[in-house]
Amino acid sequence: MGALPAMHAGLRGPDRAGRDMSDESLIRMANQIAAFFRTQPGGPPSEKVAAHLDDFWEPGMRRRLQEIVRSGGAGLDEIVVEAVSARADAAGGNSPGRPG
Amino acid sequence: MKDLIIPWDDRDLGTPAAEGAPVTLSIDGFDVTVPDGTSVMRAAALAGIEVPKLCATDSLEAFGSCRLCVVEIEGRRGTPASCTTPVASGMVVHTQSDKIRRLRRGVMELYISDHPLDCLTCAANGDCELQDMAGAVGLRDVRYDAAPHVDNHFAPRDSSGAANPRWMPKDDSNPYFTFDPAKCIVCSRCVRACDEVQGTFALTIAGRGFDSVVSAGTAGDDFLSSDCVSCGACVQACPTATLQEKSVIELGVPQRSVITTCAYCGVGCNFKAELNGDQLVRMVPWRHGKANHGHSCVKGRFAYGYAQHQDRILKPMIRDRIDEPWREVSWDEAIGFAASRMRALQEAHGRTSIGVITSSRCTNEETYLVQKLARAVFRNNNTDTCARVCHSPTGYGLGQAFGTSAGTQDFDSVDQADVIMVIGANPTDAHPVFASRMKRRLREGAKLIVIDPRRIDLVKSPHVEAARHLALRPGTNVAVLTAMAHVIVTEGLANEAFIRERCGWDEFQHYVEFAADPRHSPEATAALTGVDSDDLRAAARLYATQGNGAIYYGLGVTEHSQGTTTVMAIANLAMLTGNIGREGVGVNPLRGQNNVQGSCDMGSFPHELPGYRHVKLPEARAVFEQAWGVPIDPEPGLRIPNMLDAAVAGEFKGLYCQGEDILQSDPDTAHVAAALAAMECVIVHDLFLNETANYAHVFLPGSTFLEKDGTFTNAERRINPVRKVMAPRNGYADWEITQMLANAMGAGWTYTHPSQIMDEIALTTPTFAGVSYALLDQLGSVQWPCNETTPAGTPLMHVDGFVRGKGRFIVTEYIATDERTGPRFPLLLTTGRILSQYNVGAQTRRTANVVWHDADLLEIHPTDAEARGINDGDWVKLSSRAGQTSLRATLTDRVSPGVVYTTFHHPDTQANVVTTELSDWATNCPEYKVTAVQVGLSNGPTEWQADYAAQATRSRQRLTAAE
Repeated sequence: MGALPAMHAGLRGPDRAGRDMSDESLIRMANQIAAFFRTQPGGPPSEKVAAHLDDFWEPGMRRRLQEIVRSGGAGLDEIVVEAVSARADAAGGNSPGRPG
Repeated sequence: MKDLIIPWDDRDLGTPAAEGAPVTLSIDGFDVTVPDGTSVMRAAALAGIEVPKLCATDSLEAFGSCRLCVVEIEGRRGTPASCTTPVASGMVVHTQSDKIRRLRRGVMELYISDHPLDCLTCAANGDCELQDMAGAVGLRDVRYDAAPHVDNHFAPRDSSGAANPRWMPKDDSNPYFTFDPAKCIVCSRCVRACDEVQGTFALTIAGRGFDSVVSAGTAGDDFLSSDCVSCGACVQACPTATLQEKSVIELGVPQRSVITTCAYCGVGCNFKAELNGDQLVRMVPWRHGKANHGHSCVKGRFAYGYAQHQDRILKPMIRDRIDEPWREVSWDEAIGFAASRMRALQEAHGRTSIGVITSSRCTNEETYLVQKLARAVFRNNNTDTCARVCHSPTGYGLGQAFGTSAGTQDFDSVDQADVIMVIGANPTDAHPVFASRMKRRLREGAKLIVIDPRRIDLVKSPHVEAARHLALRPGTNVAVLTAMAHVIVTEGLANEAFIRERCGWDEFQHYVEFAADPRHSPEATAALTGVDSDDLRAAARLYATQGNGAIYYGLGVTEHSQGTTTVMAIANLAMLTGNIGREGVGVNPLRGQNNVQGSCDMGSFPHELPGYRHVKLPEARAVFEQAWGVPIDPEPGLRIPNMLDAAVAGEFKGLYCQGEDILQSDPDTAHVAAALAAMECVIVHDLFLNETANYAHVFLPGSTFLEKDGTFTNAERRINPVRKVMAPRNGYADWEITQMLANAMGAGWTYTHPSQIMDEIALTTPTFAGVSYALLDQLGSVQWPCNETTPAGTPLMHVDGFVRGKGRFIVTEYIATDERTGPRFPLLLTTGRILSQYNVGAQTRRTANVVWHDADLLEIHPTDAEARGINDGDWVKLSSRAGQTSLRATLTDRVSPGVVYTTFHHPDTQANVVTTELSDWATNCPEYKVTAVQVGLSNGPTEWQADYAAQATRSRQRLTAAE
């Protein structure tokens, strides 16, 4: 890929590009899922969050979420941390899903 | 391209069908049995005897004004009009006698005496009921020689050259049809069609007696300036050339026709495409269309000219980099280029580094092939569809509550509704043909509740007024609907018998405890939602207690951080009141585009195979692994927003995007642009160089719905046939192009007709098991599930039990969106659509529909405008934390103070520059409906708009093949 057209220069502020933004978006999305399941009766919310992530998140996104948790999980809802840690333990520390 | 012959009776039977006990009578010596309440005219027509008529047509109630349809009935005096005379048992009718013939000739003679005799050069020549009737009654002589001596209304001047004061010039203000008062016989069919069928009440008869004339709007109005919405119902009803399509005036009366399905909204109207050779002359709503029953709107009826527009790209194009001009190349070269680039990306960056986006504008067969391309050829599940950004919460929410991802009713069900609740939808603009059905039912007395931040037209329009309009603050849907549930639960209005029989009791107990909590009361939530608690209580009582309650909802429900939760809250209300599983009730998502339902059914979502079966399920994968001969990835793939995030992160490199303009339609344009710019192979398959194509490396020209066979599935799960009306101008139908790409990547597909694709869908997908093109030809259309147990389809769902077994109540806690107003961005922006335009406008902007809407406008309340010094028509800058754009303001109290509104039909406005990255918690459906913004005066387009326009122009440069 060559240089981006000039109009993008002004558009891609520091918070709009690269991994940081991608992480920010994963954290926000995971926290939203936790916020819903926190309100649901019957069973621990972390299990429901883990199941939802398994069903709807592409493995690469789940792997990245695990990395975020491993590096301290800053900004993540504790339910998410619990959900992701449980999956990581079950998988023996391996990343979820099939290799990409 | 043979004409499709379907054994449908297209005759006009004169008056509408009745539903009564059978009655037998004799007409001209033949015994006829018809339902009680049927007119003599219709009974005769059913017996194959056509009584001459002018003011009668079976889409309208009988009027009895022309007196041409008189008959004799034994034992009755005089000659009653057959259109207004109901049948009776044992009645003996004669439709012909010397007396009747004389009377009819006399009537015709009077009509013709005030009608110009320019039949040979008239636009309706060969398609004129007045002409036909003159022939049928044997009119041979007109004794009252009108022009130029006698008083008449059709000659501009008399023989002395003096102007005729009764003559009125032709009104050609409407871009699609003309109104020529000189040809009018004042049968009132147009006026009645506008009232009864369309429900707009734009036309009237002005004057009395000989001075009676049809008039649009008030004195001084023409058709364009009147309330006319250009639905075409009056043109359809007119028996003469008075209301005439301009296309017929220009091209002549069409000689052949093909039944097909409209490619605009999710109503899915059937049309007769009428042609001469391969020249499309007009689109006429098909009287047997089960979604539209012969009605249409300005888009489907008239806005098809984009198919011939000069902007349409007909040759494939490629370029190495997006800052280079396009090069026109052969299909082989384009497909080869695309295939080798995509394969190279997979080799360099991994199997999952590429993906597809299917479109709700494409057929089921095309969509099925595109997701198959991802799953079977790319060997990943990176397939998503634009339903992601509209109705994905419906899929998840209704799936969880009821067990299936679809509306519960057919459209006809609205005829039985007593209370209609419209939530976050604007049917008169976005689903106009269904809105007309709804308005008809409201005029019959059904009650209406509207839940919408904006005062949509339905709230108050001629002969329709909402019992309650809950003008909630954008983003508080869940709080409002939970408060309604609170009222129903705490006031003892729940239908416990239904719940005990049909729903999970434990979940209901949890739910009741939740809903009854005083913090959910209308009084407790009023400050948050902005909805008056008395209004909310009244609305809840109305819905729960006044008979059949039907909910219709749109993107104002789904496109929120809590879109899925709102869908669940709607399902809760329906189950709580027992409003599910019979005619007149139900939960009905109004789908935006023509094939949203179908694109979801066809397995476009990354986590599920066709028929809503999760890719994690081995038994579901096994079906397709056997059919396709490849293993299927058991993990969900990337959704559109995830693809874009991954692209910006450098992990997603290649995209095949069919019939979808993500740059204009998806939120946070700057982010979408950055993502597209970061990809190394973007293949756009479309009719036009859309905005996304500015970032594409391969452009594959698409075919319009007129140029291919296939099926669309509408909002009522109705699978409607799309039939090839003319050859594809680009050379190939879209399914063929996808097949070429797949085969260039080694697929080895051998489809020769889309019916074979449907056969594969039926083979692999239980809800489609009984569907075939032969069945569609036989039935006209069919609603899924269609299988061994329901061979003719399923109009109503969840009749004896929910698809999932027991209906599931789900707790719906209100969680505020992260998008908050504050000092910098104190207003809330919400977005929507307008009648004349469709989605990103790629089609409708390329038609004369722009006379009604040539630019997106910002609706702002006069109070907010005054505080900012904004006058009507001023250029204003609309900014959010995501970006800014400029457009003109229009001051209106349709929106509440604190709320502004705009449409997203025009790329030079790009409303989505302003919308943000926030999305629904469960599905990532973007939160289009809530953005914190500021509005201020501006001098014109922003720097961003200027840069964008310049980049778009550069990006669309083409080298032609000769160079």
